[in-house]
Amino acid sequence: MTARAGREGQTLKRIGSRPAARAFEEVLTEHLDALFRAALRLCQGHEADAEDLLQDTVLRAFANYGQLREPSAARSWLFTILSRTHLNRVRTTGRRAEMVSTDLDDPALEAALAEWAPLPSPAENVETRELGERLTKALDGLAAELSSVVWWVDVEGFTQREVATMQGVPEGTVASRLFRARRQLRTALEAPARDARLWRHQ
Amino acid sequence: MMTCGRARRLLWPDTGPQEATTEIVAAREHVSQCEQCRRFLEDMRRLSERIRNAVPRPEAPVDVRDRLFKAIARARTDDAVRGATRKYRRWVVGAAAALFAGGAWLGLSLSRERSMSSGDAIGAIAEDHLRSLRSGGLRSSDSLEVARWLADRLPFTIEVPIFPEAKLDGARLLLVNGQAGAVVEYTIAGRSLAYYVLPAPHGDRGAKPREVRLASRAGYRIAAWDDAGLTHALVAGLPERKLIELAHYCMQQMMAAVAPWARGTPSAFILLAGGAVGSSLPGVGSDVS
Repeated sequence: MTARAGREGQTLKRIGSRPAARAFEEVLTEHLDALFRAALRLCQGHEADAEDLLQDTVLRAFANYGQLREPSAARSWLFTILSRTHLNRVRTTGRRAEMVSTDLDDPALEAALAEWAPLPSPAENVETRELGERLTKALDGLAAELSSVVWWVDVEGFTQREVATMQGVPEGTVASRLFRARRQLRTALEAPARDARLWRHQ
Repeated sequence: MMTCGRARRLLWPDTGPQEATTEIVAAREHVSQCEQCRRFLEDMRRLSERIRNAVPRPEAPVDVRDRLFKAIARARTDDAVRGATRKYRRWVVGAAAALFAGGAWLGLSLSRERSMSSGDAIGAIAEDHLRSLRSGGLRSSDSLEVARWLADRLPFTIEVPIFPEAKLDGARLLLVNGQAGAVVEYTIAGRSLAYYVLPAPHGDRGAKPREVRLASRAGYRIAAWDDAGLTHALVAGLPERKLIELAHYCMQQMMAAVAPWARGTPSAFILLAGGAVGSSLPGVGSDVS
């Protein structure tokens, strides 16, 4: 791009000196859609709640932007604030303890992992237009802790270790939640394939 | 004895390179000989991939963006006011009284100067982009029809760029600082992309021709450049790199469209009949800012 730009006499510059507030807006613009989607997951698909959560998150991030020393860490920094802000909100409603009590301890997780029934072979998976909708519905049906972990890891690409740090829980808890979430979501992912097999046999 | 459950627990989740402890080595050995465990690890990878590929990724809605950036603007104002109040309370009161007489004149001059600056044009573009998402214009995916529609209404000609992967949705007019401009609208990867062309602000000689300036306002990225007396801008929620790529693509099409004899001539895109245009232009009224 640089070579081409030079050849054509086109150059590139950033507008202004980018004071902190403007720099913050640029960082936010970069990650806004991802933050919105993550907030939606934490709020189980309720858009109004997600917007409230996002607004609280963004204002907290704006107030503390000076603490972000490494701009390349902005993404995980924003997600951490989102996660902590959500936790604070949930704690005030007293739902946090209830959710944590459903996490599997290590022996229970090992037992659950050992019981995994293999997925059908790839050829039997039929993609349908409704798959995305099914998956969204299934995600909305999961507990927020489960759906946020699967979203953070599978969709946003954070490692389980990063998610553990962001959400302030042990890595084993993230592993347990991720496994339970995927186990429940496989039903939504397999349903179209099952339907297709039924059609073929009729 | 290494069980399937223990081996899976040790090797999943994949948290990157692990220290080869005795237990990890035993787990790897187990998996190499256990078809069910290999299937399990492969299933986890497949499930993750299917979720990532199938899940819809909605953009933050326009209204949400709008309210969010207004909240930030309020927070900025509040901070500024609080800072001023704390540090300079007495000074501010005195200065306010001293400035009262000349304030109106000074404010008027400054705001006029600001409205002509490049930075404010960017702000106006961002605001207009937000408004446009709720207003009409010509809806057409035919680039020729769009070009004709704009040519009938504008004092300058514009090429309607054709971007790879983008679908042309139509066009509309806008009015910024009393000057008419065009907005060509596209959809790219499910996101809105707008191409703005408007007369460059008078007296703004800071930017070199075809120098791409980047900014983000109200949750959108803007890549703007001046050429031949016009300001061009692409506005979208796309990644910065993609937007720059599209801007260069757009410039290439503009340059290719200019007749060889006119290449390098700044006024090549402007019709001689052109000039400043007010709100009497057909179709401009609804977009007057």
